[in-house]
Amino acid sequence: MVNVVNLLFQFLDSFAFIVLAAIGLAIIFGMMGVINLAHGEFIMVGAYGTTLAYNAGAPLLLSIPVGVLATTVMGLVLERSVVRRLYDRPLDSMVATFALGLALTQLTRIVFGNSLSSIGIPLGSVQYGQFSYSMYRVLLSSVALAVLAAAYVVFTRTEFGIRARATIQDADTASAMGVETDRMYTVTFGIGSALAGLTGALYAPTMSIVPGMGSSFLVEAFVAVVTGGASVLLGTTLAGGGLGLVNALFSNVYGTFIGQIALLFVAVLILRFLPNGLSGAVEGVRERMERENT
Amino acid sequence: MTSPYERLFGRFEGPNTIGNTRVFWAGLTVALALAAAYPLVVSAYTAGNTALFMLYGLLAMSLSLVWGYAGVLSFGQVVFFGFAGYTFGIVSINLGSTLGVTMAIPVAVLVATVVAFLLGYFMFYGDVSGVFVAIITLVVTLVMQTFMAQTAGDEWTIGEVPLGGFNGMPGIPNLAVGTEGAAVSFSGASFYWLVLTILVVSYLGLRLLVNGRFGYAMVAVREDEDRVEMLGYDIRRVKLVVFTLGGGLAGLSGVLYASWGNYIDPSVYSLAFATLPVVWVTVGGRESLLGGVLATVAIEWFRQQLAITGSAWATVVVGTLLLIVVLALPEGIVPFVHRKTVGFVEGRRMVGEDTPAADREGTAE
Amino acid sequence: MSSTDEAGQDPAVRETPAVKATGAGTDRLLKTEDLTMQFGGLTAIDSVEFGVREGELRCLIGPNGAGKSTLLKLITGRHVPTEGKIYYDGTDVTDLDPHQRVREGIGMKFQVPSVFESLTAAENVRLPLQRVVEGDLTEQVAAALARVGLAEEARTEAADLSHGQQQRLEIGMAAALDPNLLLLDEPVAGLSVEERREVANLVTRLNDEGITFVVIEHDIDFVDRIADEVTVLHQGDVFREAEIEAIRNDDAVRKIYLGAE
Repeated sequence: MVNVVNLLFQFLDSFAFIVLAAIGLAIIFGMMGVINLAHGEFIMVGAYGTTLAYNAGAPLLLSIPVGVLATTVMGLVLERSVVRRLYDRPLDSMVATFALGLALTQLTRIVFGNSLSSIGIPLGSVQYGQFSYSMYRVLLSSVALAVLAAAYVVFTRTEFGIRARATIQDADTASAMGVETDRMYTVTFGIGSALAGLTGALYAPTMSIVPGMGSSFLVEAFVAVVTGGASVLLGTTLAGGGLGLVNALFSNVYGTFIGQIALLFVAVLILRFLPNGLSGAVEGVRERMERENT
Repeated sequence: MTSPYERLFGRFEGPNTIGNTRVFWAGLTVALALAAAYPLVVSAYTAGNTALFMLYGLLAMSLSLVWGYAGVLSFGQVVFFGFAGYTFGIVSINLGSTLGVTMAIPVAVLVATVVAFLLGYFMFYGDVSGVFVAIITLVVTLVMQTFMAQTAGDEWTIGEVPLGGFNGMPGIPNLAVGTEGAAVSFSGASFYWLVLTILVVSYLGLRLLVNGRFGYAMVAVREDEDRVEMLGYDIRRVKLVVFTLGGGLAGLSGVLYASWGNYIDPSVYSLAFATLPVVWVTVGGRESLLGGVLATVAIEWFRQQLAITGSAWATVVVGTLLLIVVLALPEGIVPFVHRKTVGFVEGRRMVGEDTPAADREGTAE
Repeated sequence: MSSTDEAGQDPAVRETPAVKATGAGTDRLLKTEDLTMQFGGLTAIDSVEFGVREGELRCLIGPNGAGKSTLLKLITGRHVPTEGKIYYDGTDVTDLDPHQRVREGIGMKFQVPSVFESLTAAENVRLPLQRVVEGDLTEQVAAALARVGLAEEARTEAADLSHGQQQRLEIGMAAALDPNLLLLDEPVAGLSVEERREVANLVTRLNDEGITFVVIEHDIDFVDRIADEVTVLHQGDVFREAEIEAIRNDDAVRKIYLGAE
């Protein structure tokens, strides 16, 4: 039996999770052709930063920016030292960043032990009939939408955003037109890291804080990015919506495991049958409609 | 005028493998003799332990074949590994007898091969390219992990064997060949020798393959697909054949693994294990069969040592090593060392030639 | 219609093979019908009727972006046309994969030199041959190299060959399969005057041996040297088709080149 309200909440939850997990990774992959398999660990650092600040006495609202800052700094350092050698080498970047992730996870375990005491979930839950759902997690779906909207504004209305899109489209031409592509890459990697840190910070109150926590984010993020297609924002939104819906539907009826499997299975179908990803497919339809109207 | 050496070794040598001199083969023979003598000087337990690293070497070679030689990065070798391991367990436990165990071996390898064929067909005949093959194989691995992890319930039983979910499938018998009365069972030292034999035979078989016509086509596909296609080759078929073969090899490794530990669980499908073959082969040199095997044994032994001494730094060291190799030595350690030391002595061996480089006049590197 | 080629022979005098009674374009080895290629909103090839007779040496010229390489890729099967058909030797090959077309007798030399750099010239030529020849290949490899004047370079790694030698090697690899139709995409780009002459001689010699050619080139002197007839492509369609002298003196053709600058 499909409980519609429950399904709605599960969808919003799934949508938020996928979008927030993926957006940082999508921007980095879209701009620099790097598949950062350490993305999960970036998120983990954000969560750890937030939790450590909170456990030291800061209120949640202040701890979140701390987490974001920690991840951003780390991201910038890594970009200068390691990541910049991997641009446009997607296969090598997968292997190298995987190695990075391994090292990060283990270093965290060595320094901070096997777990930190967790932050409780704020805001309580929504009761309806015999069900309840965490308010906080549903709220995160608004945050996800806000992040997408903010990214859209930055990419389309600011000068930085326009230069960034030009670099994504054609780095050589952008460079010839005066865009400092090196600096663009560094800043973008910083933004991607910050977003990853934000995700970790936001989800920290809802999870147990262990060094391996990043991997649950990595899978959804990775799958959303690769099925999204060339257009960063449109792709992430479509992936979040589409895969989120599949996940919510199957989880609702068959449980979370099957929901996850369904999500992954649909992703494989998309990879095989839509070579340009979800955003590519949508753009293809739009083009065909335009052509029919001319 | 071909010498006996040429007639024997000619087909195993070529530009696609390192080690094309008498010195190499002599060295290899010595190393094999030492390896064979190893269980005579250590305990059965240690020999069995080393056998694990060696069967992993088989898994590494399967990835080396698919990635290093045909250019197809697959994170999915563990899928075939796992399928074969689980199938071996299911069939051997259900059938019970030693004959049952014997029959389970080819059945399990066949299952792995068929799965590889289906996945390969799905990808290559759908014109999925490069990075997306890596991605799809990675996602399939995750699907398998998630799926197997939730098979804990009693309804997930095949014959008399529950799949076991997270708890895994215990009670998998040792490898055995024969029927009641006339059977050979393998454990400890005998298992070690079996794995060593399989490893050597596979290594030689792969050398034969990659240095022959098909191997040549494989390498060409890796280098420049479009060019090869316009010379009349069906590149999708080439990739499918290689991928299927790699799947069978990974499956064989999986059977050995299941019988080694008498146990298998969904962790074989985990991200951590799926990426290990990529680590081994990247460090060892993906275009080198021997490099892959050596790196596997070295890395796994090293990780085990660090785990034993309780050091948490094992993963950090491996991760850092991998990072350094990708950034600084993309060809891998063994080919790098070979190039800097022995390579210029060996000279340039040409495909299809009978005489080794050292015997030709005027060869310069 | 009859011009004499480099060797002083009249191509029209060459024997024509028995006509295949299949109906479509039997007087042409290659014929496209209403061929169209669209990429998103861009029409790269627009309802093109392009045909080549057996034994011809046709050059394909036109300003940048005219669609020349796209046309060649359609003929080889790299691109699947949005509309239209391609007939080769009387058969409809529109649905055939590239490797199948190669096995029917079409070969190609790519715009970007595509030899295998770490292999020797002999090993490069071996690759196409090993698929079609059983047993020992040494004779065929030697013959294929000699055919393009690279017998001396058998043991040289392709990376160490000069640019002109690499172009000839790639032609040699394609020619090793005894194709009926060879497509060359810019065979003399970046070559010295001497090397261009060598390639021109090679192409005319292979043409005399019976291979039909379609050659994309920008070097008008090279075209003059080798071509029977020239097709001018402009904005995805055939603009002119005539002998080289007529093309050279055609004002409209000159204008489209200048206009495209």
